Amino acid sequence: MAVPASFFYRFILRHLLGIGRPGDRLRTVLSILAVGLGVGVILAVQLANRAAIDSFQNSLNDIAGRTNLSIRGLNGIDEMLLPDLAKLFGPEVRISPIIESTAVIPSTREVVRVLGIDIVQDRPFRDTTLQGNQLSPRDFLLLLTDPHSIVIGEGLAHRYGLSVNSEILLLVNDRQEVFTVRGILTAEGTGKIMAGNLMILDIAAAQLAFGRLGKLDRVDLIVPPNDLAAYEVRLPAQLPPGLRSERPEARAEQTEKMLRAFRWNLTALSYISLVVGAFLIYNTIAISVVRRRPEIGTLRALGATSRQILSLFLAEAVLLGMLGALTGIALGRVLAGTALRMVSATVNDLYASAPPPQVDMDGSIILTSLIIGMGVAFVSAFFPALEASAIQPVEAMRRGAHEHGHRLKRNKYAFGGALTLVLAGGAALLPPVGRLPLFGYLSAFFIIAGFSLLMPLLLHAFTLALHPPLRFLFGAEGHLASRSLSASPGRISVLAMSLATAVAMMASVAIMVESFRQTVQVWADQTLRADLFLKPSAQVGNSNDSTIPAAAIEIVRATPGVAAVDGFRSLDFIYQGNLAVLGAGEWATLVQHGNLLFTDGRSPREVMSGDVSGKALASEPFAIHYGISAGDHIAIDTPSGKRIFQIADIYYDYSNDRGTVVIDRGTYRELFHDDAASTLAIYLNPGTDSSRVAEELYESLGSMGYQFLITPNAALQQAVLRVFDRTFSITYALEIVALAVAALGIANSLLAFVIERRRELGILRVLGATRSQLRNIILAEAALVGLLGNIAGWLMGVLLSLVLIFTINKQSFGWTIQFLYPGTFLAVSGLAILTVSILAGLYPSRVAGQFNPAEVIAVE
Amino acid sequence: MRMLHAFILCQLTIAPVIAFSQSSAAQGERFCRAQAGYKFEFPRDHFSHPCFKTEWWYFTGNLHTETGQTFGFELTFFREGIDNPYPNPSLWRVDDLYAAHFAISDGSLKKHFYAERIRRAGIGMAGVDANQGKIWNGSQQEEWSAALDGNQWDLKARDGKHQISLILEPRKPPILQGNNGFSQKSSGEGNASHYYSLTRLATRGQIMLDGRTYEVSGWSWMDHEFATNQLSPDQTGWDWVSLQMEDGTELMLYQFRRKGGEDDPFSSGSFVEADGKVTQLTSEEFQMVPIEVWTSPRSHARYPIRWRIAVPRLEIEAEINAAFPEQELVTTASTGVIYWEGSISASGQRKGKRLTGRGYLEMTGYAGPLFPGL
Repeated sequence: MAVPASFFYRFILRHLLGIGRPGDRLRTVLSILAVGLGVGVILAVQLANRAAIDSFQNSLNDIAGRTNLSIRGLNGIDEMLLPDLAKLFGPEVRISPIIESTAVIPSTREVVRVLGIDIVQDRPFRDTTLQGNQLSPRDFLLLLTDPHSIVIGEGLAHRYGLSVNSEILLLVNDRQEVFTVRGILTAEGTGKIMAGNLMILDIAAAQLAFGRLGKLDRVDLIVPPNDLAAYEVRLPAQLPPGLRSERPEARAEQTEKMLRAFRWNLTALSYISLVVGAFLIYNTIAISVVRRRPEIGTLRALGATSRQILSLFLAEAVLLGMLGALTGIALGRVLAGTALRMVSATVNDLYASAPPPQVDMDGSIILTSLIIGMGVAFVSAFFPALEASAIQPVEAMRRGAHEHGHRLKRNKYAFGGALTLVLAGGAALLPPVGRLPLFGYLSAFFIIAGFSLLMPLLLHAFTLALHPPLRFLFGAEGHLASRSLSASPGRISVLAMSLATAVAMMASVAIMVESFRQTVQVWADQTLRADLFLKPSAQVGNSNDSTIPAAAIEIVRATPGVAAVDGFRSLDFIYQGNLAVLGAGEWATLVQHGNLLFTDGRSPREVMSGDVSGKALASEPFAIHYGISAGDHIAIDTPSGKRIFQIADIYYDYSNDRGTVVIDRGTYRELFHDDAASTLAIYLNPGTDSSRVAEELYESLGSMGYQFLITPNAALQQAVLRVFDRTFSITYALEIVALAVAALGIANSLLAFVIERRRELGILRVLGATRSQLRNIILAEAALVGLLGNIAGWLMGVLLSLVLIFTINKQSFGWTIQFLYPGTFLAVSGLAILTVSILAGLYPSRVAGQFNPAEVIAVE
Repeated sequence: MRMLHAFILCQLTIAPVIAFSQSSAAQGERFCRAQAGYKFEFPRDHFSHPCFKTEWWYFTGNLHTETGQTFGFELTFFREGIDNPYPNPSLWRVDDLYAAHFAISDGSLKKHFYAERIRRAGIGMAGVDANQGKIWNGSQQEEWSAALDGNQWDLKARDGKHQISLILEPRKPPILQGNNGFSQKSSGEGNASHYYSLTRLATRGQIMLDGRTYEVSGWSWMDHEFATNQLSPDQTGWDWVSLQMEDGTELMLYQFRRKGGEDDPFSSGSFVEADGKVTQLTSEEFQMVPIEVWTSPRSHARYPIRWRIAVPRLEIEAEINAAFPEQELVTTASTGVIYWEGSISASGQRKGKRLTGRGYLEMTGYAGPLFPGL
């Protein structure tokens, strides 16, 4: 299959470089750019995923240090159980009590990881190296005794210009405190946690500052490795009620599972640009093949084998792919920063506080990008290249035969397309694989493939239908434009398809997002009924590290104008090995003042009245992930032992996708011996001025030293939508890139089309067509392709959005979304896309207008 | 007398040299000074005296199997008071740090093993409890302890394949050292400790060394001392020796070494006759002279491992010999002190009669300053 390099240069490279033909050079650049954008987006999303999510997991492992088993409880561990726990272990086992929490820097709202350890004896567990390698005796003594002495990570110190003896103001739990830095950790061992965005303090100080007196968040153990398995078998039966043992890796696994759906969907989305790019490569090579049939024929006649022709064109594609990938790598590095900000904002909003992200590029990721770029180019060029290799020497002189063949296959393709769409429908109905909607992705792929196969037929019908009106409206130009499209169905179909894919992606995501947004808005409007919402100001995103103490709740209750207060407590809990949320709210208050939407349409009064002690509500994501329906029973390990709850009903909830189980606060208090709350919903008497009450609360609670955030209803509703929009900002960004790729494609293909038809256009000029007429023909062609792409795109988009809403989203996150067709938005953006495709025709049309008829014909 | 002057905590991996030493750290309001006239009362005074900054319980002993294999052991508990002015209701607040050393010397194989630890009281992790009659270090599963049951002490410690489980029964009442248990250590009011010893504890139980368990019996010695201020900066170290003679008597001597090399007037000792009669010895009444020096390969400290002792007043002359040289403890992870503490034997004469015995020798200050970092 060897092809001499000089041959490759003469036949392919010269061509790509546009030596002798400047238009070709532009085409080459456009193709490379298209692949580059595709690869760049994938790379950026991958880097962002890795930085935002992997580093989060790594941090979990760094926090564990040499711990190989941890004991945890649903709401921490009563510290008085420690001697009992110690009895369960042999003399070789080391035990270290841990407080873990988060603090917030008020000025930037940045989250700092907090680790409270017994600094006297934690040493075997974690490596902590200090800058300057030494803590002065005085500083160590202060760390041991002064509850406001801390050690911080290098990253935090660096970003806020802190050094030893610096003071730092932090929001901790329900108040604001000034801490003094006694040491700075180097970026090794524990110091790597959250990229150094952490503070360590003694366990006594941590209990005091973070409202955990009497409690431990976990107990770390170092167990002889040989005994580990035996302990894991024995402990579940021996541990006090409500406690469980888990390996530190389990935390990272749970986090991975929690973020998996989010991560997969983002990755899948990032590949769409590349699909658009693949159509373009296909197009580029196909055009190249069609245009150069005579040359290929000549080569074959001169003795080149068909394999050599195949490898020539594949080499061309791979070269384009490689250059595209290289461009993409450079581009991806730039885009990653933006992507990362978007991804980590979402991870912070929806899941947990992540470390300050850092983009980390390495060889493997570069190699992957190269392989993806070249691989996609290879695959998409394979069929055109195969066609080229099949060209017989004698065929070389016959024009149009190739395209004629396509016309005959049109119906066959269409049949295959229809079949593929049926398969897509079938795949959409299949259940998820381990919470991942793999068949949903397959269904989306089938839809794109099906439409690709249907495209020649669509094009045919389209030009047939449009020919009379075009002719009527634009006369000869309209006639010529529509004819030239139907004369090259293969190329135009691919061109239209690349645009349609981009449009479909945009349309489907737009439909899904808009439907989702509307659904969330209605849900928020109907279920967030309280006039004011209160939370500790150190509480960020979905974390529930900070709490509101009972004393503060009483103050709120006693405030004039307050009709009722619903204290809601939420805790992380592990259900079937996954992270879920256990909530406790005041059911009676909710029935009287608030609202929940149940999937079976019942009212809270029907569902949540009477004896509620053995009942629980499950959020829709919980029900979907675990296959639970109303009437089922679930077991929860509480500090008072295992308790069985009957699911009273399933309620719609869009606040998290982990799934929530809600029990009554009275039951919770009894079982968990905890009267704190995570958030308060405050209902006011009718006619009370909510801003006045908020002010009063700020004053009375503030004077007690509490730091709470009070949000009025309207602001919370807005905040819900703001978080929503932030979550989908990366989605919008990815769509715009796909559209840009499609626009590049249109310009690219039309340019090729124009260059190829020099002779034809030249003859038209000779026959008396004016420059502007030629330009109009090309613009009309661009508009036609744009229109076709648009129409096919919308059709495909609606199908894709159905898959997104009812399969992919539902299976990934467990949310029911009311399908909604955002008519105005789509009409406006459709028009915009049409404009873009016409604009993409501008340059080719100018090129066409500039042909010198005499010269063109002379060439021929 | 035994001393622990510098608690050096190696935490956050870097051995930040924390010396909570009475010699230079500001003396907090929490702490009392040792004063003459303190009335000892037992068993009350076997336990904690939180008013004093430093307190320790030293158990050492020489044991043997029926077949004549010899072992020495050391189990020491330290309490170091921390002056903590910060209010914090957390049970993890630190008012005292507890350290412990555990060592076994195998006289036959000439092998020395030791382990160390440091804990806060926390929740049952270390402490001294008079009600339970217990001094312990480590949570339940890893506890080292000395528990008083009636009259006898129950010692338990384990580290990996090394373990002791011993019962110690006193054959003589507590001996109050110095002036009725008030022991002046350097010039200046309050530079003193309260100090008593149990000089003859009949001991039996098990020793496990490298996973092999031996039934043993023999004699142990217990020292309990508490103080806030003791030494002066020009006292660079001390040599302490306890001997349990086969004739039923015990001899304890300690001498301070001074920067200038001159004799220290606060060196002292005591002699207990078989019937329990005590003779206190002043610095002029005895001599301790090194004869042979061993250099530690780890710390490069040069320890005298053979001594000549003489108490002319009691007509005692004897030579003491380390069971073997390598009985050094480098306790960087707990107290930070490098010292030599090991099993010895003595032979000589008293009033012309042959005198033999076994005992323990402690030598400090040979591996650099006693108060590093200060």
